Amino acid sequence: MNELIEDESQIRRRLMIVDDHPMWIEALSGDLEDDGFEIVATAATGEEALRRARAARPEVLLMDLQIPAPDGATCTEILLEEFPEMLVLVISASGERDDVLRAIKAGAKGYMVKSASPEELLDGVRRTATGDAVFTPGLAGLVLGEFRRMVMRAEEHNDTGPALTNREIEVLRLVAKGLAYREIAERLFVSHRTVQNHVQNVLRKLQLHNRVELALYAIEQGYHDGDPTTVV
Amino acid sequence: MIDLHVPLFRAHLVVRVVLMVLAIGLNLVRLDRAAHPGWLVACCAAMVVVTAGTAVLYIREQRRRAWVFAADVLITVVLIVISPTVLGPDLVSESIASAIPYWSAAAPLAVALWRGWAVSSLAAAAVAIASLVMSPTIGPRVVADQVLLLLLCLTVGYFTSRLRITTREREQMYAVAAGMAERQRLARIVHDGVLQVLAMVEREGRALGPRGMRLARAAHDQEAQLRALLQDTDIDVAAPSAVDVTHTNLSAILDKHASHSVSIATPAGTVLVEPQRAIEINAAITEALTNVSKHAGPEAKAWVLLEREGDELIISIRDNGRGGTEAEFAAAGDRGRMGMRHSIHGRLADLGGTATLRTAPGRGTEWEFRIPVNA
Repeated sequence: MNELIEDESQIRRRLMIVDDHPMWIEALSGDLEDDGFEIVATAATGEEALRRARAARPEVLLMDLQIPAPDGATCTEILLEEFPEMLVLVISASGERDDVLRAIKAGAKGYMVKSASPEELLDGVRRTATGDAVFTPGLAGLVLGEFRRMVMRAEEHNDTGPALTNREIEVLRLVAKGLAYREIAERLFVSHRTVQNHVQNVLRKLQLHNRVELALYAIEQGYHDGDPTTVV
Repeated sequence: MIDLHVPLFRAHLVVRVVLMVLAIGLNLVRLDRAAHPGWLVACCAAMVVVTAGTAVLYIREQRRRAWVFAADVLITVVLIVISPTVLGPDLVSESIASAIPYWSAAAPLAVALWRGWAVSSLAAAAVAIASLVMSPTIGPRVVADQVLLLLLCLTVGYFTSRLRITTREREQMYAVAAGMAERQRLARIVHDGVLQVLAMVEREGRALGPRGMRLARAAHDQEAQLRALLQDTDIDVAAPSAVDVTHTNLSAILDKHASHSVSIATPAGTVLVEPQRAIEINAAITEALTNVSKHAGPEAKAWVLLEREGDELIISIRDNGRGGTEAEFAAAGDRGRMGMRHSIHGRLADLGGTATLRTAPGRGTEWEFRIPVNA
C-alpha cells in the first residue's frame, strides 16, 4: 500500500458509504471527512443504497458486501450499469470470494477488508477516488484464478478466451505475494507507473470480458425465447 | 404433511376398475348358463356401485374411515357367499366359482394401502376363508389362489408401511434442514456483527498505545479465524448431495492460516484435492509458515498464494523477513532442524511435487511448491 498519488487534482471528493453497521459508518466517515472527503449519503441496506445513490449521485462509493437485500455485489452491478463512471471500492468484513469477484467483474475498482488499518483504508479510498485500481494480495489471487478458469474453459470449447500477457501474470503474482508496486517495479526493472498500468489493464480486461459474456448470455436467452431482435 | 395415500388410492382405483371390467366380462359370457341370471347382473351392479363408492370415499383422507373399509370387505364376503346360489351347480363346478372373480382382491388391497400388512392380512383372510368355505371342492388350485391373495396383501401392506415411514423420515429431515438453514442465517447475522466489532476494536485499538495494539492484534486474529470458520460451514444444508465428502477444499484449509501477519490469496470457488493430500500439503505450508514466525523476525509478514495452472497446483509462500543464504538454509537442515528437510521437501516428494526455496540475506524467503493434481 502507501503508494503515492500522483495527481491530486484528479481526486473525486463526493463520497457515499454503504454499510449496515452505523458504528462502522461513523468511524469511517469521521476519518474520511478529516481527509477532505464529503459524505453525500450513507445507506444500511441494498434498497437504500440504490435509492440514495440515484438521488445523491456520489462520485465514489464504498460498498459493504453483506447488507440486507439486495446484497452489495448485486447493488454494485446495478449501480455501475446505471452510472458507469462511479468509482466503487468494495470494503467488506467477510472474505466471500465469489461475491468479491462478482463486484469486481461488474466494474468495482478494488477490494479491501475492514480489518485493514485506518491508514490503509484511507489510502485505498484516495486511490479509488483518483480512478486507480486497489489491488490487495487477496484480490490479485482471485483475479489470477479467474483468468486461469476462463482460459481453461475457452480451451475446452476450442476457443480463444481472454488471456493475460506473461508480464501481466507476473505482475499479478507479485501483487498476490504481497509485494508493493514499488518493489515490483524494482524487481521487473520498470517504472512504478508501468506496474500500475498493468494492474489497471488486467481489471479492464476482466470487466470487458464480463460485459461480452453478459451480452452473449442475453443473446442466447433471446434466441431461446424465439425473439432474437429484442436483445440487439 | 403431503397425503401419500392419494396417489396410492388412485392407482388402486385403476386396478379395481380393471378387475371389475374383467369380472363383468366373464359374467356376461356365462350369463345364460347361470342359475339366476338376474342375480348375477345384480352382483355386477353391486361391483359397479362399490367401485364408484370407493372412488369417492378413498380419495379423501377424512372419508377414509374404518367402517368404509369394513363395508368394502363385508360386501365382498357377502357376494362370495351368495356366489354358489347365483351361479348354480353347473358353473360352480367350473374353475371360476365366484360371481365376483378377481375383483374380490380389491377390498383387501385397499385395506393394505390404508393400514399396512397386519390389518390387511385379516381382510385377506376373511375373503380367503369365505372363498374356501363356499368352494364345492377344496383343491390345490383354490388354495393356491387364496394363498396368493394373502401374500399379495402382505407384500403390498408391508411396502406401504415402509413407504409411509420413509416419507415421514424424509419430512423430518427436511424440517431439520430448514431449521438448520434458518439457524445458519441467524448465526450469520450474529457473526457478521461480531466481525464488525472485531474490525472496530482492531481499528480503534491501534491508536490506544501498546496495550491497544495488543488488543488490535488479538481482534485481527480472531476475526480471521471466525471468517475462516464461517467459510468452512458455509454449505447449503438444503442440498446435502451437493456436499462433496471425497474431496477437501484447499482454499478453506489455507484460510485457517490467515492472521495479522499472514495474508492468503486463492482463486474464487473451490480448489478440491483428496483429503489425505490436503493434510500433507497443509503440513508443508504450516512448516514453512512456522519457519517464518521463528526465524524471519518479529515484524515479518507472510503471503500465501494458491494457484491452479493446468494439472498443477502452485503454492507460493513469501515473507519479507530477514532471509538468509541458501547455504544457511541447507545447513540448518543438516544440523537437525528437521522441519525443512523432512517436512517440506519430503512431503512434497511424497506428493509427487517439488519445493523450491529462494532467499537472500535481507530479502525474505520464498517457497514455491508445485504439486500435480488429477485434472
